[in-house]
Amino acid sequence: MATRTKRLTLNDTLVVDVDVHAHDTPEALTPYIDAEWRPVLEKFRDVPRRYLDLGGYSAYNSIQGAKLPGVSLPSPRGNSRIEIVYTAEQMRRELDDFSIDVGIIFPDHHLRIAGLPNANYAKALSRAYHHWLKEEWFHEDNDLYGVIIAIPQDVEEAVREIERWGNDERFVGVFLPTCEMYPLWGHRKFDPIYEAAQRYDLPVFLHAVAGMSSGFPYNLEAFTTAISTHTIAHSFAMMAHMLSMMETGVPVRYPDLRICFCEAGLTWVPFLRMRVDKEFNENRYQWPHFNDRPSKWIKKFYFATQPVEEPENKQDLVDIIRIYDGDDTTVFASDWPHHDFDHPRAVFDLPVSEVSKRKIMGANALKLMPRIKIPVKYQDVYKQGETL
Amino acid sequence: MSTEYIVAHSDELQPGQRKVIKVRGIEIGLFRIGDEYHALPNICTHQFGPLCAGKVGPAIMADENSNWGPEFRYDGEVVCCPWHGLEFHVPTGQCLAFPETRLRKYTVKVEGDEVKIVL
Amino acid sequence: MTHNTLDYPVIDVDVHIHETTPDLVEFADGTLRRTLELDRSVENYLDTPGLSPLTAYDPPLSDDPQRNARVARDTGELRSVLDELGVDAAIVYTGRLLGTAIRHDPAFAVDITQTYNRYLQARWLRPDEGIYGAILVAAQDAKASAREIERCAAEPGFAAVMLPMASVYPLWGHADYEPIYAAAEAAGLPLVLQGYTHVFPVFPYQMQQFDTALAKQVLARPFGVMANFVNFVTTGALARHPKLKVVLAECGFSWLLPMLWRLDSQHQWLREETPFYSGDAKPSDVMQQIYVTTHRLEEPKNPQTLAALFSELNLAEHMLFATDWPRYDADVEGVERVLNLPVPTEAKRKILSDNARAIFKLPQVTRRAKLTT
Repeated sequence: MATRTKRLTLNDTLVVDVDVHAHDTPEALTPYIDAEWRPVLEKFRDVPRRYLDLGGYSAYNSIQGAKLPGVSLPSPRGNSRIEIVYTAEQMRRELDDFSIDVGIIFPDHHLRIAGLPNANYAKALSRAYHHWLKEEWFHEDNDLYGVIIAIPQDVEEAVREIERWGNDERFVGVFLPTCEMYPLWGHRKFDPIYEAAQRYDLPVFLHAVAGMSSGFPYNLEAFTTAISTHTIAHSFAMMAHMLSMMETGVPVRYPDLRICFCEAGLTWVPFLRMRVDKEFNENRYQWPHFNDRPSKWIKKFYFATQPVEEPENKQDLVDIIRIYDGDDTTVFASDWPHHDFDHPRAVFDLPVSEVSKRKIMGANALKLMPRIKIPVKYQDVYKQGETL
Repeated sequence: MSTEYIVAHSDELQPGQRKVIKVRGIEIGLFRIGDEYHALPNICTHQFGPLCAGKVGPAIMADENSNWGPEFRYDGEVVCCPWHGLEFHVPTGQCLAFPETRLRKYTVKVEGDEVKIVL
Repeated sequence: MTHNTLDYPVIDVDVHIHETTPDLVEFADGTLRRTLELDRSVENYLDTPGLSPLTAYDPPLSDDPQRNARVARDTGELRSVLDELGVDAAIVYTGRLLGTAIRHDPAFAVDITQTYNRYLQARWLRPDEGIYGAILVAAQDAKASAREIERCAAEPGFAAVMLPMASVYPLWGHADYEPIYAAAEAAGLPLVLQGYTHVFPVFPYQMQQFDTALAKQVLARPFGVMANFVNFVTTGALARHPKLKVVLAECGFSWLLPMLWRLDSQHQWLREETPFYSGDAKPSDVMQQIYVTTHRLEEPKNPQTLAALFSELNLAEHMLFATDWPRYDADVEGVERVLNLPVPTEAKRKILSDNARAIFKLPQVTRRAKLTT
């Protein structure tokens, strides 16, 4: 490894952004959707547009605000920034502005796809989305990659899509949508999805979005402000789904499956790890598939940083990462272009060693997603699978 | 040793308007509020976003005087960072969310029909 | 058409207007006014984000009837519609604020409902043109709502109190709402339960698992009405306010009979909680104070079934004509349908006219000349 004589900068560091969003409108998907559903998508031409809240496609149904941080008390930010990326070119350009080298694309509207009760509709949309990604986002070498949506409404279909795209090098993971979802992802009926993901050596990503529905933890109607719901929506979703996957033993039954939890920040991880280990003293018999404290498995999960907590004393966050053993499993995410995105410096500037910086900003993501091709600029510094 | 830099003509900005300029490599937001000018660094304390390019308007405040209900105050005096919405009271540089955060203001002079920033 | 020969005025007790956020601005004050001015949410039928969201999870299939609804935006348009329907007078309700009970924030709910009432009065209420309206109340603040009822009851044109049902918590009938019952009873205004098909985490609207719009449209409004009705009966709210009347709209009426049977039946084993039904009194006695509407009239194969239900529930005295215009399932031939019912002629007149005139206190409604054919 070359010795460095100056301090590491963001520009010198391979930055893999585990979470960016492409705007999957009905118009965008219309050319790719099955013919029978085309007339349905065409209807949206007449439907008034609201950001990430399109009735009949991706309904937010929030009483705290259709566009965070809230419509009933108007945000002073207004619409000062279009928080949408429409094309691969735009994404590439904007990520370059932030020194982000590689981006993993997640959907925008279809973050809520698990909330669509019509399974055929969800099926058609997810298929169209994958084709759209392939044709319009991966048509050239732009260091952008995507994830395969596994719709919970139709497990066989989810498996078929994993098999259809599983050998395509531009698809680097399986997205488990966790918004408005019932039952939770640990349910045994989802086993074929984990089996397929493991078979293709694809990690699974759990990613929520604020949205309301009846099942826990999406029943947030008691709150009157978006700050309340947004504070807990994502983290409660990740906690609920993690517990569900733990209780049916997903990480035990699929030992090679890598699991990543997104967009819930990091500070909840020590809470849940410690809580569950404490419970295990008394209740191991309920989770007999674990032959050791559950945190040993949680330790192997990956956690995307965004929205990274920003304590007054940055060392506090570094301590927390240490407490959940996150040096090798924490992965940077910006969530560009969403309202609560993190500039890479929010993570890069943490008071950690340069080795840790390189891990968190990119090298850990290479372990999570071994298919990612290291951009030419970094090929002599980073090696696939290297241990820093 | 301070230097004055002409940054605008006195007719250029109407009350309520603002522009972002670069002086000696530093990006500064020049605001005209009424007949007064204010200059703030164009860097948000949160994640270094382009603060002075954000919307300017009122802020929603609440205290005993409003019976703890929301009220619009400081109309035209609060700039909101376009990246994540952190609000700053332009005349004082005060961050509304965090009392310990206050932006350092640049001195602005109006001489004749020239608006100048002193660095 | 037969209804041209009627010599009494036809009253439609359930029609919806369509108000937009800009319409409301001038009637708002304080923070709400500024908030509405800055509201950039795009207008959509039945959908006011943040205040009263439509909660649409189903795809817009080709036969989705809620798209492109025809709406009335002013009294001129509404009067034409009523003429087409053969209606002389109507009671109107909000179009886009049906869900105002959802948010738990009382200040905001009071502000928006009072703004709406001021708007309604200024822009819509025209008793001399047969347009009356319902006072929209905020479930979140019963005392403020009671004051609002008193204020509006003194103004011409307000004929009813609308209770927004969608995701209200607790359900109407609860003791929390006593000031509202008292104020409505004192003012002589009936309470009208109004809802819409809506999916939310609050009972009885947790309908996420139904994967068709059909299932949700079938259940949402009746379940809402049933839940609120049962609460009214079992809390004694109606027993304590014997002059109060409650109108159960938009869910037909046939479900009422088995519900009353079941209430009476279960009551025989559970009497202590309901001391207001002691001795010979029973829950179904509330029928004295309950009204249903003709939207939508059930249509059994055998018309005699309908006649039997009618007499069992004494619907001649307790049914009110309603079209629910402009809902997709509005009964635009409602007058005809009532006139074809297998019930006595006097009953038809009561349903189309007398019952509404009596309970909504509309003696001055007259038959308009030259109805359209």
